[in-house]
Amino acid sequence: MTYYNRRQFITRSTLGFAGAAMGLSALGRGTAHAANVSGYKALVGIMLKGGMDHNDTILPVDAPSYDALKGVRPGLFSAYDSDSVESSRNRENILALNPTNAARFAGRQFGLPRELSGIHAMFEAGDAAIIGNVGPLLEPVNREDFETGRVQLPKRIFSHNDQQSTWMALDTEGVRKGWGGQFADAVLNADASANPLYAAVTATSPDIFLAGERVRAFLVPEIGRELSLDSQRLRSYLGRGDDSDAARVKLDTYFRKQSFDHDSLFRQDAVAMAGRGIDDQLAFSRQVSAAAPLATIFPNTDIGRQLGGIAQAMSLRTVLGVNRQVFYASKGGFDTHDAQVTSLPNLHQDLDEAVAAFQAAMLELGLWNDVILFTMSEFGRTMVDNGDGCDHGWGGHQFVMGGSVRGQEIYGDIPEIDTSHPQYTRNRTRLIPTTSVEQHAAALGGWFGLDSGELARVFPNLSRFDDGALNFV
Amino acid sequence: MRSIIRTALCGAITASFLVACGGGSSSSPTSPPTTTTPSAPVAKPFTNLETREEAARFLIQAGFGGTDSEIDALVGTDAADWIAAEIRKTPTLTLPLMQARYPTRQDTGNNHARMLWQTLLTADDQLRQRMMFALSQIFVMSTDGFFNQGYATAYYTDILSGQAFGNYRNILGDVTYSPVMANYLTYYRNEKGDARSGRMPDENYAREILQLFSIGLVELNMDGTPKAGEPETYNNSDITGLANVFTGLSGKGPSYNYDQQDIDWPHNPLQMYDEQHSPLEKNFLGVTIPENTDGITSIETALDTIFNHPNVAPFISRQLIQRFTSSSPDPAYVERVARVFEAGRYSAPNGQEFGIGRRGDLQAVIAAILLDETVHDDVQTENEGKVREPVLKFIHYARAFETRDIDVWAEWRFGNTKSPSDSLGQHPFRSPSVFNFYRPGFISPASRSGAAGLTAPEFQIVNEGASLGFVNFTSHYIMRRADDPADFPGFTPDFAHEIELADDVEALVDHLDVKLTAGQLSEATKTDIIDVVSTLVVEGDDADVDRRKRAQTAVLMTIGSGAYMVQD
Repeated sequence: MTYYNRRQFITRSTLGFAGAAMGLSALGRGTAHAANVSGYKALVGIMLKGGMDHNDTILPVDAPSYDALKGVRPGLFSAYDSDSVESSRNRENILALNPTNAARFAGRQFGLPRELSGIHAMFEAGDAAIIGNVGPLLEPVNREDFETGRVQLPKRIFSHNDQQSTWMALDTEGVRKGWGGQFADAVLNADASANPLYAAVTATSPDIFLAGERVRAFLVPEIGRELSLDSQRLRSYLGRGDDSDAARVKLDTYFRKQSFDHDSLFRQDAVAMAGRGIDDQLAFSRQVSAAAPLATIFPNTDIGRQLGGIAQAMSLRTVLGVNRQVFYASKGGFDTHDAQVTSLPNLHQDLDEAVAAFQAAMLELGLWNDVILFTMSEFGRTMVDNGDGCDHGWGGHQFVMGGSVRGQEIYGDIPEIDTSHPQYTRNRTRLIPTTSVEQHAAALGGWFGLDSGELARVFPNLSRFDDGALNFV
Repeated sequence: MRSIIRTALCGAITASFLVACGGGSSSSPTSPPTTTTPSAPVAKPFTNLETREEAARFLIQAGFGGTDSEIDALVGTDAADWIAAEIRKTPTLTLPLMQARYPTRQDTGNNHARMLWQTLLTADDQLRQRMMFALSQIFVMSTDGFFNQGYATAYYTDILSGQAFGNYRNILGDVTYSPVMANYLTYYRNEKGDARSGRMPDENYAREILQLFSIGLVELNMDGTPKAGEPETYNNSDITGLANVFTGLSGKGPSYNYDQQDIDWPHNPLQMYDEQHSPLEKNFLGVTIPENTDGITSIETALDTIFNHPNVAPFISRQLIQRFTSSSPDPAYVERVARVFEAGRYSAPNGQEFGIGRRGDLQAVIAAILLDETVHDDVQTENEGKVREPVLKFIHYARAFETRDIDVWAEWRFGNTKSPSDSLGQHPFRSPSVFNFYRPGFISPASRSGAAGLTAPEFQIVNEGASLGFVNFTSHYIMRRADDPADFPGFTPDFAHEIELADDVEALVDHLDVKLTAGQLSEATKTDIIDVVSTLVVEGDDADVDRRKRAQTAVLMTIGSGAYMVQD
């Protein structure tokens, strides 16, 4: 695996997949609906663990808003050395966004840090949108409601694990099903021929997102990795005789077996997972080896390898017999209580490069219109800083990307930079969400193919919100 | 058989002894020690380890599993005596080992986590090391991303191993004042607020010390279940109040500033710089610290307040039980242990005393966990058992076969054992976040244990995606380190006893069944192992090699069995 420079690979992918790239540029904004001729659709969720600081992701560009943010974050802006000409947080260096609905923000302008240049380009090309101030809600809430407790609030807001769980599964830790898994369940219920094994696929630790009634997450290996049962591959383990070969075959069967008549539930589960895991992983790996490798080079970062593994799995969709898939990747490190200026730009850059490579791979496979890539993060962060970082918040801003996305637009809301604004809690200026996770996820589910009845089952509070508000796809 | 003896014994003695037997009296306080020893015992207490199976089972639960001779030595003895002997052993501490190996802290790189592997694989004080590893999964500090912090992290490890049989409150304090935790949870040089700019203190430690290290998010009954309505233990203003407490701490030295601190500050307690400590009135958990209170007084008041919260006993007890004996502990078991946590003292069925009577005594707590009636009865229900952590499974293998020449520095595999696809999926002190490798409330989706509502934290890392990696990792050590000369030097297991039995495959499997799985291999598993191993023919000039391959194959298959993956 080699590192690459984004400029090189964009050139490369444009040259290598001119047809797809031209197709993309020919689809102007507004006409970017997926033709969906292949019948294939995939959702790819990326969980940004730790709580990404939305205030340092979607940056204000107009002078009054920029100055206001600098005013409430003196520690961070000073650590960024924002007055220097090189600083990524110098107003001049922020990559301005030109949303088609700019008029809505009455002169307020937004931009992305230069570390997100790939996503910025996607936004400007109409292939990415921003969902502003989205977060877990049970019903609409304003500051007054929050302070008096007169409406129902999600449980344990501000707690990492519980809000990751709430984002992905609508309840605190211990909940049993995520909406990604339930989307996959809905597909299996509708299509008896669908292969349940590859309906929900993760490239990392299988979090609650992909847990369903029927599906369990399938773990894809990193891109380029071949898997084997070493005791089979290495003859030196058991020797070279006929008896050794016979034993090897039996040993292979043993490790793939999923039941050994145990009474204990834990033992039943443990052997089932072990046997299934070995059997399925090796079968998948054989398919990977037999297929042509992707030409797109993914960055050699954790998130790059994860998205590479996902793209590789998508390239096998026909052999694997799937036409609807939910994928999951995650990236940690966003809990920037301190040293934010050294960590967040790197995190952004890793994310951006991986996402840009993923877009290139989708163009290569001709799937860019059939996939939506979206970010999640358990919460945004306090607007007021704590010196060199900031603390847990509630609402935040997220990205949705893909050829089918009605891009170059900001959905939801991005409240003004004003600590007295009623969309912030008085305690530490945490953003109170204006768009619920359920609205956001239901829009993705509708595109994926769930009907309104199925969406209402997965998202019990959906009816409390305006269902037409998020028409990003 | 033993459960019948216990019933007879409990029935025959006084009512107060029934309490010590634990016969459904979970709401009673622990009996005073004077009533725990029957004057004329008619049978040995249920904690007596009567058979090799029981001895092997106890060593898996309490330690890192046993060698043949350790198992033999335990038969006929009381488990409480083993615990007492382990507590008396000289602690293996990490800082001296790090300092001996790396003359300056700038030489330590990221070798602390490697050193921990060496200790866990080789140290004699196995109960203390088990406890240290368990505590490291509650007071989570991950060395991932740290570089040249080897002294600081070793100092932290030694807080956990040094206080493994001490008091929880001392750990809470020492952890709070440890430089590496301050670095990890970002309260090192946490600045007091500034009213003019609106800057507020970092809330990270205030939140995580409550959520993860002490009381958790919801009010608990003594049995660890949430109280009705799941009332939350704190709200956001408690956090902002407590965040003011954890301000003003920096390294030891003449000055708050980083570059003027003593050279040994990373492995010494933090120092309070009162001029940097918030002078505000601090309100949290119903306590008010008046304005202008000095920093140390503020912190000590806060730690006492946290420690005295009624959640601490069930919250900590349940998680420690999960690390030793049960993935989904029965609430009555949690309550029995939590009450020992409260009392600070535990009297074992054989009369052995643990703890000095101060609340939070971990010596009493660990004894109560390991000597509980449900741990020693013969009744196995389908809900019992603990899914074993990959780290523990590997250590058990290495120790059970008295592996020689363990030098993890010579093993690239031990530089990082985190990858689930080609390694163990777990590395001590290297969890992905302060939320540990897995969550205590994790329920495996679409599984049988999950359908029964059982928590199984370990299934968060022991699952389909980790199965191939575990088999490949262990098969390397089992299959490629025992030949002579070995494919690879080091980590040489002693399979002599197994090779001796290799001509009688049933005897070999029975032997490994007891040694590695406490006699719990299912019949279906045994049949398969016997079949595969018998397929390997022992003959001719290479008969000794054939016997060794039989032994290795039998070991590998036993370690891949359900009975090894889950202890019960």
